[in-house]
Amino acid sequence: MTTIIIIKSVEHHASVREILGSVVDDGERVYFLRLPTVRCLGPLIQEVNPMINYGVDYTITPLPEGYDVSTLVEFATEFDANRICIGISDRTLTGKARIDDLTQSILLHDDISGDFVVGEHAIILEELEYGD
Amino acid sequence: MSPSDRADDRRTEARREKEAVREKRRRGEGIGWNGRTLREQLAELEDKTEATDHYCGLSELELKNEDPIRYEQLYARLRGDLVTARETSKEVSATPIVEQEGELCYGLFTPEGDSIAVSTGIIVHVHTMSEAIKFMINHDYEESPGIEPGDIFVNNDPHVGDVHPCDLMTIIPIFHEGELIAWVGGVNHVIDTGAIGPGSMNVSQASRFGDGAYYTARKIGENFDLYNSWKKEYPAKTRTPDFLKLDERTRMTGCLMIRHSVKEMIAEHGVETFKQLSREAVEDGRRGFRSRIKKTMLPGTYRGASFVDALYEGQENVTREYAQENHIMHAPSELHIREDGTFQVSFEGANKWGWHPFNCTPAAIQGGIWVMLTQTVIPNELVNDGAYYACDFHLPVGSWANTQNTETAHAYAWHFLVSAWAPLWQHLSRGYFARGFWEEINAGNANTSNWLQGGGIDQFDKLHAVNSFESACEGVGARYVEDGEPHASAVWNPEGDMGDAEAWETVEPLPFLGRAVKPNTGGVGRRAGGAGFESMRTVKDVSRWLLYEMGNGYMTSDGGLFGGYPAASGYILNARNTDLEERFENRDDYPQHDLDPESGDFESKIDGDVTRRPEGISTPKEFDDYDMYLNYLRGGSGLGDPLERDPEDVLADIHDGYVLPRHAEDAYGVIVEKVDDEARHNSAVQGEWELDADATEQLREERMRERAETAQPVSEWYAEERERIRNGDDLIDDVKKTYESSMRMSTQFATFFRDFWELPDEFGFDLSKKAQKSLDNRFDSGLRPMWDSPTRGHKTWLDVGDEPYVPYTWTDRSIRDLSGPESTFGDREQAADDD
Repeated sequence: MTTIIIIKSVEHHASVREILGSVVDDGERVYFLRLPTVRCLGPLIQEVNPMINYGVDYTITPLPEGYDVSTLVEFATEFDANRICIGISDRTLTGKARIDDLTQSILLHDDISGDFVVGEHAIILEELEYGD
Repeated sequence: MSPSDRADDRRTEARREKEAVREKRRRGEGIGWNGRTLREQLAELEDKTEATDHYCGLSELELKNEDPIRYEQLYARLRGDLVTARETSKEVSATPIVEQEGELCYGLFTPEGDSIAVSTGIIVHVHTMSEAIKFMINHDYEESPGIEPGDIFVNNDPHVGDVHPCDLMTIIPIFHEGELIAWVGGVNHVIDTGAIGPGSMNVSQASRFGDGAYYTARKIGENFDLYNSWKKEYPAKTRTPDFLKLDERTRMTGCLMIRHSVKEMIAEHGVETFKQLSREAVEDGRRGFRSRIKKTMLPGTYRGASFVDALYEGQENVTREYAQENHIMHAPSELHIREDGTFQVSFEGANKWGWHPFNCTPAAIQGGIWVMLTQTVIPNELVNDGAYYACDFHLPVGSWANTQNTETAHAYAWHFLVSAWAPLWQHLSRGYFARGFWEEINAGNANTSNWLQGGGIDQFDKLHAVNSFESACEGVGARYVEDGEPHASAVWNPEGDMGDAEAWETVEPLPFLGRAVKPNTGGVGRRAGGAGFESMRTVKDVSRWLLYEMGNGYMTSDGGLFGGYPAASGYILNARNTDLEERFENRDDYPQHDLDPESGDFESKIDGDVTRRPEGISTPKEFDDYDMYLNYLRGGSGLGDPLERDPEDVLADIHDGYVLPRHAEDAYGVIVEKVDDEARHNSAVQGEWELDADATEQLREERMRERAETAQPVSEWYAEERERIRNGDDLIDDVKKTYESSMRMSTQFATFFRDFWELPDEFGFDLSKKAQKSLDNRFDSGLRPMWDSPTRGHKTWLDVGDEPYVPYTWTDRSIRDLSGPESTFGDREQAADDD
């Protein structure tokens, strides 16, 4: 199984912990995709220690400035990702997760589909299937 | 290609590489591998290393396994290039410290700051530069001030990555097509750091603010050119600007040579091969260390303790009145060797730091121990930070070994550091003995002193400072199978030397009156410790000139082994306001040596104010022309019962100048007779001597009988000592303060101490008001830590977590109580399979 975790903010410790603890299984392959809004995942990795604490092998990859959703979907396709996870960064006044533009773009993309799950701190698109 | 063409090419290349780096940054990528930032790369490396028990998760050494010969060739080429860079660049320096003694070292590091290979020389810095690089990474230097091709960094801050501030390091990144693929660093011991007193390791300061200039991992240039601000700043902060400028050119020369070599290797073999080699070399180094430990040691806990004095009561020119007190360093040490080869050292019970410059930071302790381990544990293995990943240290926060306080002084951290190592030599030697590796056994090298330092207006009417590195040449500890080498090297620099007297005289206004092997300085034993030597210096053509001493005095930190005796302790000998000039003019005799301090020979040949005292440290004091100063370099420890030493060897010791004839009887039970007054084998002894074999045999039998008669059951000795401790009446305040400090530092040690001596639970030493105030003053100072983003590798620095990273056994807690070896490479089966 392969999981992509999209990091929009270095403060997303809770969402990363939730994904690694509740969604991803021990021994899975994880790709941390760092958006250009984040300069460095170092502090987050030092805090979470994904391999020590969750037993996952992982790679950190930066998405280039000016990327669009196609770049992201191409990445998911290339590595045949089974799920894409993204931290909840915005909420309604009643505390419900707000779907941000990036998540919405992924959901609406023609070449990718899957089951949509909302967790405590993260949104997960799983059972991914890819179009042509 | 001329040097200027090569420099132009280098700058052109740097500009091109810099553009590639900036383009990557514009795309949001870091300068690490595959677009990661360095901090991401370091975080990932540490996570994977600890999780997998292999460096960066490297379970297979593919490059090595596929073609072992090629792997060895590539590594040997890197190592050879580092050594060549050192040998070549040291000729650039003007100080004998570098040019004669070779107080210089280079290291090649991974992007994350782990050393891949090191040159010869002061390889203590195999790890200190590594810490400086990790500091820069963890403090986001990639963002600010930026890390780009052609950049130059400097560091000498011990809280960041150094032993003491006189070791200045130059660090430059090596880039390839926009990626930082390695770092190269060079470090050398400079002659003056601009401290409150002249010399590189002043001793009169109470705090770090008297240590001299600290440069905390600073960017000092770009495009391979130093900033004008740097070129103007640092020379003004030292008494010896020209020497420091040439030292810097030395380090730059070596770094650029190594950078060139790496570039050539990449051009020939490809960058992926270089990357793979750098990773595998560290993992290989780790496995080599682990495997060597498993082969040569027995699992278990080895326990010992060492002490050394630093006496400041009554010293002049100490910067704070409250610093005028005596200190004894207490270093209880435990070495845990586990079945999987795990190597863990604990200094639990170490006493509090003090208002003196002998405090250590973890980088100093860890770096210092590597240089020792390379000389005993891994002399034939890859020497790199693989050893760092194979070891763990517990250095109690707030102790002299880990002050975590930026107010503490560190100018001569080596004094405590070297002394604290002494039991480690013995721990390892006991393991070697048990496993039959007798050739590896070493009783312990010398406490590297005296340090002749000072400065003022020199023979060229210039402000100057001196730091004699004759201390790079001391006696080596006795081995199980051989005597220790006399006047050989220093524990921190296996390539050390005493240097040519003439070379020292070109930079020091301190002409040599004599230089000779010093008898009775190596520890006695079946195998004798290597003897030290001495230089008698005078002073010429100076004004307002200061000199001082630095070393062990009453106490010798190098205990002997297996019944051998410690090396001789230190003493100070000066003469001021002398009649030396008149003696020269009248062609009268004058002292050239002090080879037999009890003989009165020195005092009989000079008139003046003679200071002779059994201490090792003095603060700067004024000397004038024709004053005299003895520089006494120590010997190594002895091994085995001296009554078992072959009497013929003792006779040879006399003729070689290692033992005075009267001490042959005292120390070895050997009777010799003088048979010729004329023969002169050495400076210390006049005459030819013969062994009286029958008298020797008789005396030794008598000594053995005396031993049996005066021997005391341990139970009686224990009862007497317990009474001394309980009453405290005949214990000096300094001793009581030392133990009280350790007990306040560590409840585990306090419990152990009270249990061992069967003392009441509330037992504490009754201290004088002054001692009590001193402890309160320091314990109330709290912490001022420098590290605010500890990585996994620094858990030992700050006691992160509930469970000690390295367990200690001073009390009921035991290494066996832990569920498993938590630190470093824990899994026993995995380690056994791979290592």
